Amino acid sequence: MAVASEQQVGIRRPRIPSAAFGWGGAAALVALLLFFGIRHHVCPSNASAWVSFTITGLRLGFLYAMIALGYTMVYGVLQLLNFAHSEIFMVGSFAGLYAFKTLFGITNANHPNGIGGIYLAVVLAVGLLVAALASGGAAVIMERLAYRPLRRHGASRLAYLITAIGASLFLSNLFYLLDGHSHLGLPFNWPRIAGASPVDYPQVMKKVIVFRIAKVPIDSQTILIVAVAIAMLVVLDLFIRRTRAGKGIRAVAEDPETASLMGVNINGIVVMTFFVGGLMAGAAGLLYGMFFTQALFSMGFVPGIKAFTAAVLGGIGNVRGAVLGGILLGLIENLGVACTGTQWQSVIAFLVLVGVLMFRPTGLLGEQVGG
Amino acid sequence: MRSKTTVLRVVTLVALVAIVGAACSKSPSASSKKTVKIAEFGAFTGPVAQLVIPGYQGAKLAFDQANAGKFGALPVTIQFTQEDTTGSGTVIPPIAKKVSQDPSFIGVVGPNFSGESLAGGPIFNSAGIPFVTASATKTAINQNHWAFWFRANGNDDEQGPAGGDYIAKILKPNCAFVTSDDSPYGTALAGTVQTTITNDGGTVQAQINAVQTSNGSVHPTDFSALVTKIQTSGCKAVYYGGYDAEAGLLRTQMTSAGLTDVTLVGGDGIEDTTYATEAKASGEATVATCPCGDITKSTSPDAQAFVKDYTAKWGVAPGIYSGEYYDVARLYINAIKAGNITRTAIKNYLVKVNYVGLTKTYSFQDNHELVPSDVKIFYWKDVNQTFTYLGESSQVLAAG
Repeated sequence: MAVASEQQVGIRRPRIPSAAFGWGGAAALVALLLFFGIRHHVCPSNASAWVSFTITGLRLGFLYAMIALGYTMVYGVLQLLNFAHSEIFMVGSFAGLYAFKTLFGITNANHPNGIGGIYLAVVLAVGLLVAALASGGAAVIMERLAYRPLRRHGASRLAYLITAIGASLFLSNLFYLLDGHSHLGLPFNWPRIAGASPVDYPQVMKKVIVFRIAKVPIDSQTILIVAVAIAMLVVLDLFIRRTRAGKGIRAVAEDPETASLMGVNINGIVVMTFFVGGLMAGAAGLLYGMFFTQALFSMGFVPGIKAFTAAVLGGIGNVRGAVLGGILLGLIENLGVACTGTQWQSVIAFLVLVGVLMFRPTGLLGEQVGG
Repeated sequence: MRSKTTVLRVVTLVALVAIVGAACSKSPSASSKKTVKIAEFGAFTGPVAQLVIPGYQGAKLAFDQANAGKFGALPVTIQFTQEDTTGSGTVIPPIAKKVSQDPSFIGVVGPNFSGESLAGGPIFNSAGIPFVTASATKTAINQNHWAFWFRANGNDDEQGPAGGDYIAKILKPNCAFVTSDDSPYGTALAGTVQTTITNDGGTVQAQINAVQTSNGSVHPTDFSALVTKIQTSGCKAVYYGGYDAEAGLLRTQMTSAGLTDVTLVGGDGIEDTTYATEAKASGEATVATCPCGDITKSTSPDAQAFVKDYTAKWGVAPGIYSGEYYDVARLYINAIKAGNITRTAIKNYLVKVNYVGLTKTYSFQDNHELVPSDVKIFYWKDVNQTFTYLGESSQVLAAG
């Protein structure tokens, strides 16, 4: 009754957006659950546990973000879900491994405590470069061999999707077979690059505790991962926003036909998109292998699925969205299990994804390259 | 002219095929013995292959010796084949069907792991082909009451208490964090360990089923969240029910997180070179239980001869389950030598067998588990990145 009379006399109350209710409600629910969880000793009550989960979440989140960029950029330009991107990440990991072992002769046997000083900086820089270039190159080759013929023939979205899955399986199984043995009855041994078992990653940089936050040790490799990821993400953002090539990518993503009429070389832009996405995934592959001490033909599967999820969470096609999605997913996965078992890690992460998409179907930052 | 050339080519090709065929065909004087096949089902590739290969090599040595006449004349030649399951319960069914439908196969060695035993067991059993494992230790496998299944070793009801007792009675930590992968083997073993420690008066924080087991497409590498859980618990001992591929990485990441004073204990799933290689120096002092002893320490002449022959054949010393699977092969060889060359005849032979092998005596209860007095559990400890034999569990516990 009171409302009716206010409307009648034309009084306007400031409107609270419905999304704010949604986010506010979700935050209140989480806070309530945490309160009861800590009170009943289901959740840890000490700060160091929460800091520890946050650190591991950030570390993983930055890696997800680096991989997610490849998914999101390719989707932005081609509307293609490039499921083979997880194997591009794996290629980078092996390329980095062989840069360390072959170019520099570093193994765990001859350098059990890693290396240091300027030599370490050189080895890491070259390793990152080799891993990034190998993945970038592999992504470009994949585009030329698998996707360009489809574009030339105007294939359906389904054909792209199936091709992407096929390329993913092909690459992962190819590395499974690159084990130094003879296959398919051929009279020679295949190169020994990967194989069925995990390959030890040379620990060029020893994990040492650099400092502590709330008694939680922060090791040198975690700092390296976060630093490299931030540097590469900033450079990529500047590249997309400030350079002519970046503008080309954004133009093709927004309207390929108009971009083509304006003189943008579509094929060149597509190749560049695959290459740049590959660069990021390759560097992530090296960092991932180094931190988790091994590389394996199937290592891209789980991070790939998670990075794709991160891209969707942030808004697929949106570069900054992929970064935000990656970091958030890493945090949610880790903080989410503080009060539950680690077997709930993926359940919680995907529940949050579904929840976000219910309120924002285009992801947190919306679907737009460079947005 | 053209047709003449074609005829000439065809004649030449036929002649060549005939010559090659004649060269390849067996001469009439060759052995006319029938060949029977026995297959080993196990992970010959993948992250857990190191748990299977030493056992396979033990069995292969026995079959090769049998065919060479070392154990006396056999009525048939035994062909021993590898069937690669990669250790996965989803991979084994089609391979098990293929082997079961081939009448030339009269027996199966393995499957090596519990998960694949549960997945392949119904197929083997309904086909009536005997399958004898010495390393699938999940106790509940015996609840299937499969007539053709035999376990030539102890199960987790025997191995689990040994693991729990080591923590509660030897390590005596403030509390134990019991965790596992999601495999039937790992979860069951960790459950038994949890019960044992509690019964021994110890304090337990448990998070069973915390890690996804490696398979063809999944190989978990990031245990950060689990490590933080362990760190938060403050427990000075961790029991991990699962396999080496994950345990090695878990140990490494625990050490990296500063948990250097926390001892890891596991079952036979971690007791091999993969764990020691992956964990490297951080694996030092890890303890594993196993229904397998160290055959190289045996003083019996037969065991010493086995070690010598095995090392000569494979270029390495016997490893995990080498002696046990040699014994399983001998069970088959003895059955065949006694004239049992059908699946059912071999099963009937095994039901009544009483055989003193290299590692233990083999006689089965009604549920086809070993007679309890034949079961022994042993402790192993990671010393300088090699699992070193500590001794039989009862003796180690008694010595404190």
